[in-house]
Amino acid sequence: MTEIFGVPAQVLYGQLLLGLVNGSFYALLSLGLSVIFGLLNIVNFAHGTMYMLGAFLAYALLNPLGLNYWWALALVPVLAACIGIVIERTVLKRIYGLDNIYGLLVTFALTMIIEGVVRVYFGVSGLRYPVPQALTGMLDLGFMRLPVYRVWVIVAALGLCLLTWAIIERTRLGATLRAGTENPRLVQAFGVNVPVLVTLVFGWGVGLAAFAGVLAAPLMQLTPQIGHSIIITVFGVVVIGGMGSILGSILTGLALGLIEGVAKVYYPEASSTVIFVVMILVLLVRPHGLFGKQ
Amino acid sequence: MNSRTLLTLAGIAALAVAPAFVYPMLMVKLLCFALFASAFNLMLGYTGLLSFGHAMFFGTSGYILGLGMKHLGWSPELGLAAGMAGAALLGFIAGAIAIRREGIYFAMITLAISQLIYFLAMQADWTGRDDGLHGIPRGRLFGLIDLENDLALYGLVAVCFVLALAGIRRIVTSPFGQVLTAIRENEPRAVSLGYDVARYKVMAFTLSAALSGLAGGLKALALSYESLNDLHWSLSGEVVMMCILGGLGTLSGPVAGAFFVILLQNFLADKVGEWLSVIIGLVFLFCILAMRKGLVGELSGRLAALRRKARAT
Amino acid sequence: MSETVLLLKNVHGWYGQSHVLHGVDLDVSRGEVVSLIGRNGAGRTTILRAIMGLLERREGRIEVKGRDVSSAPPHRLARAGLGYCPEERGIFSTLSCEENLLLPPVTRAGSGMIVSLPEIHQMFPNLAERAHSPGTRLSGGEQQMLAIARILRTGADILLLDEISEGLAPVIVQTLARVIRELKSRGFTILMVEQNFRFAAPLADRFFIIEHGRVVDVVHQSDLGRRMGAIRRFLGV
Repeated sequence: MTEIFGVPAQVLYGQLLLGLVNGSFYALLSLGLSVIFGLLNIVNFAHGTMYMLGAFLAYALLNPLGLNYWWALALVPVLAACIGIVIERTVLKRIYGLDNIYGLLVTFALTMIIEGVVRVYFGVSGLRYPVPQALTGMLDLGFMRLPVYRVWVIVAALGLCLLTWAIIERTRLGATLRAGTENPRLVQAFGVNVPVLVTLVFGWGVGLAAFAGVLAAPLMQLTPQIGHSIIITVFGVVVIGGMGSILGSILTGLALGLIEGVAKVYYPEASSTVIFVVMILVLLVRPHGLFGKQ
Repeated sequence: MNSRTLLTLAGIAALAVAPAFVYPMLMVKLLCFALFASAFNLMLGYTGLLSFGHAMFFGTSGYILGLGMKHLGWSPELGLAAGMAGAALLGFIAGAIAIRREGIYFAMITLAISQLIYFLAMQADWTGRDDGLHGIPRGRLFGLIDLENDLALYGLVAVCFVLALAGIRRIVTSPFGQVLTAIRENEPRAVSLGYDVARYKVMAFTLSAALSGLAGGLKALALSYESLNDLHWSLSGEVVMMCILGGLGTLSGPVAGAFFVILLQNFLADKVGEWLSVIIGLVFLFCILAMRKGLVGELSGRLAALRRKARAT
Repeated sequence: MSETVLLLKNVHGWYGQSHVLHGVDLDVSRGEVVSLIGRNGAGRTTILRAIMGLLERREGRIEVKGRDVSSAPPHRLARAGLGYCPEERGIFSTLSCEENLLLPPVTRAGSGMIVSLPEIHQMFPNLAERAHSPGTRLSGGEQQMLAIARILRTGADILLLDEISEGLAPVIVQTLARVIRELKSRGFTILMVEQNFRFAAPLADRFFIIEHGRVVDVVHQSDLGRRMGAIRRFLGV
């Protein structure tokens, strides 16, 4: 059996795959966080909560409603986006123009509220969400065997990332969005209904997080706390990558997932902390992040 | 005697008689969080920096005190001092890293560093991990006073609280405090006046961390127990909320905010069960949307308006 | 007398705490070119921003084609037919030249005032060549042309142009003067703020002299020769 630096190759590949899976989640979440920050100037602390909510909505669709995984994948992001739109229209719009620390605090309070509600209805013990029938089993590549579901997660998550990237960089809607990030007042003076654009962008970002939540649901025990550590990790990712660049967010997310995977193999104790160590190192060398502007 | 001195004396008198009316252990908890919020206020209220990781100082100090007293036979005063020193050192390092970015990034970096500390504590054997660190002895203060007596312990906490608040007042009214306020009001101007803004920020961060550490140490000592909850970001968020709820940049605001939140939690705990965090979250939300000056700010605003009206008639 | 398409009555405006406009009264007729002149800081740019609803606080009455738009949000003003070219040009750095050009949505498809893309490229040949360059890589003159061009294809018929000749080479200023004449002949109504009086003098039908945030005098093109002394005094040249 081949070994790489004293570790069986199979084990390393397995962890790298897992790292890519986590990295895809980081990419989806940090992408949404960046787009929301760009237009709303709000760092959405509730982003991890929306990811958690996505997983629980998928669970709720299955039992008691009996709607399966594919329904969840289609419906949950829309449901979450609607919740996001209501939040934006009722709460967030009241703090535009204030210092952006208020955005962080308001979304922190929303985190407490939403998480509390989920805890009331679903309890704190871990729930299980089954892997959909069509995606069970293994893919044999010769040198390693891949669980089909994990491959699907990476493909779906990165596909959605690239779709978002293409919309923002390659369409007229995206051009309006980029312009709105630079100077929303002027864009509005050109006749674009910017407040509606802002609402839709928040909905889209929240929908991305919820989509990640559905993808993640079969991979873990569902508890109301699953959003806790991922949001902080994603904050680390955006500090490292800078929130200005879409591709930067995606690449940084994937890279950090991989680094975590490697750490799990060679130095497991550091696997949960390695992202923060990387963040500190990047801050010392390039204070504005890898893709950030001055 | 002016009204401020009167108010201070009344406060101290209230602390002295409080144990006759309120459970001493509830008072201890109130004072620990009031001290924590006041220490945090030094950052957000007076320097204008939002740290979202202050639980790391509160909890680290608690663990240092707990480990030293449980395994090394430290005295309580040594435990508290070592806890404060550890928190201050951590604050110095975290501050030096976090001030490399501003505004919202500063908040995210402090949050990430505190998460790093949280994970370290979760993995280490000596913290007791998820079970927490149990059986911290309260010991004898200066070898004389037995802190197993709740009243004696309350006395220690109350004295620490009064001294720390006096210290904070000294800090904010000193020339050093004036510079901090200048940084909050207009950082570019403070830079152009020739102040080494980075150094002032790190010093404020370190002081705030040390006092947060004092609060965390006292709490661990009082409860004979330290847990990961004291390092978690939800506590960091709560202390921000206490400050804002009470009123930023005032001495009494954070104390009022901490009392309000802890009493509300205590009052609701056995009545609403799981809805507790939903209700607290709604209170925070309301506070940020509707009364950003906080309880003390709104109250003093109303009082001033009343006084103006009284003078006018 | 032709129809008044833009009317300001006793308009006050503020930047933060400071009161900048002190009761501006102004009227512009259809097809007219009006220039706001005055010293720096007199409040001319603020008047345009007030019309576009871009001030934090504003009081008084503003009408576009007889409709009260005093409390309308900026995007409604664009849809009422206002096209705005800001002083700092407002070219977006993350958008290509072409994306900048196509950014403002067509708000009044049936107005008959839309200048088609081929016509725009004929008016400003550089913009076609530089279509794929990032907006802020363009030269100052190109950026200015882009800033004007992009509000011509939306159907706006009232153009608010802020300091379009500022800081540009004489040959480009001449091009812009030609463009203004062509736009006037096409029936556009133009309200422009100009520091460069020699640029505005031959173009405008009327001149509103602004001082301390209000209109202190109005001079017609026909009186220009006779009133030159007064104008010079106001401009401080």
